[in-house]
Amino acid sequence: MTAISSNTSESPRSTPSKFQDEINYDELVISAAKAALLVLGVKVLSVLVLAQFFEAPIRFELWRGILPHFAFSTTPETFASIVTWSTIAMASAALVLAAATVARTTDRDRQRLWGRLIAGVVVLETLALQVFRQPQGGPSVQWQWSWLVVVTGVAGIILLAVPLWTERNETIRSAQIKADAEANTGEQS
Amino acid sequence: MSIRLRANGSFTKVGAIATILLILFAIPVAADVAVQNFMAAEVVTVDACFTKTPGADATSVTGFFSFDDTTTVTDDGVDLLQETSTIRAFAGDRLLYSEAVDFNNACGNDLTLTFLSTDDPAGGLALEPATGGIWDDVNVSFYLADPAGVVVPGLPGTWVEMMNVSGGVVTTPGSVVIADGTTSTMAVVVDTDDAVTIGATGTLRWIAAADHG
Repeated sequence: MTAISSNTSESPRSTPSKFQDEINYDELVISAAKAALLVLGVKVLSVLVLAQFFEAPIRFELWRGILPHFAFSTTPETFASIVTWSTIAMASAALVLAAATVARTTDRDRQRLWGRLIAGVVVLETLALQVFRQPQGGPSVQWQWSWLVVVTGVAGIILLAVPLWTERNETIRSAQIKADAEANTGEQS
Repeated sequence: MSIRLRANGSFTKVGAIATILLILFAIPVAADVAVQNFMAAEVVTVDACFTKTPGADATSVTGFFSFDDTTTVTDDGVDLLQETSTIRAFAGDRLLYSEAVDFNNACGNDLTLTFLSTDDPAGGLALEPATGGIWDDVNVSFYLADPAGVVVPGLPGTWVEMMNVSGGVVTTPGSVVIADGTTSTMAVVVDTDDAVTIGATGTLRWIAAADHG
């Protein structure tokens, strides 16, 4: 078994440059799980804070006795506000995570970047679900503010995608230079 | 194929992809269903605050105008009160009932009252017979007492015409505001042709719609 490691990685488990079966993908999975749980946690926390802000009575219930969720006894307008602004908070968390990851230039593990990019995707998926899920009594989101979720979520994805793309091009260019150099050496000998 | 193939417990490519897909499915669903808006309506039954009670024409004189507030009409298994009046009309005469029914407002706010000619929930027609019959020979007008109304010859005070049947056509031209805690009396004027078939009957059905908006 060949151990392939990244020259930019600080994690001994991480191997970013090639996705072949010998590669250890722990860093990718752990990073994605942490990022997704972070935005989910921000969502739940912001829902509680917003419910307090809007003075919306909130209950903890189990859907079909299994799935835990919050239930509000409030107007559709207030409910849509809580859903929308908690999703904006979620998107903001994804953007902050992306910015923090990119800012730490010594910690640019390629798998970690991919993993944290998942946060932005999760945010956009959540918004899509909220838009398509139409509860009784009115819309589930405030249309006039939902664009903030899209802009913030996409910004987070782009922030992480840029170094991933740049590094990929640099790797290809380095490989090309190395191949050219080897070819030249062969011709000279 | 498993998520962790290796002896040291690290993720393989397949395992990583499966786990990422699971995250991409589960977390947005969890975030979306984290909040649900359950609305509830609590129905509390109380006595009606807008009521109709028999006027002096129904209580002090017998045989001319009667008012029955016990008749019901069934709608989806629920019995609704259908206050029913019987109006006697004299052939060749105009008959005026100035105190037929009292409309009482105890709802805590003013009510705007209109009459709506309509079939009842049990299928009774707004006008029976729908054409011809007694309505070729009888015209009926219903008025409500209103300080802002007009004088109607033969009736004391001022009135607003709420509903009229003339030539078999029903119109509901007026509306009246009944102030909270007050009563407006309904008057009925019946004109009957002298050639009317004695014993002929007709029925009018309508809704007294009270709006506090």
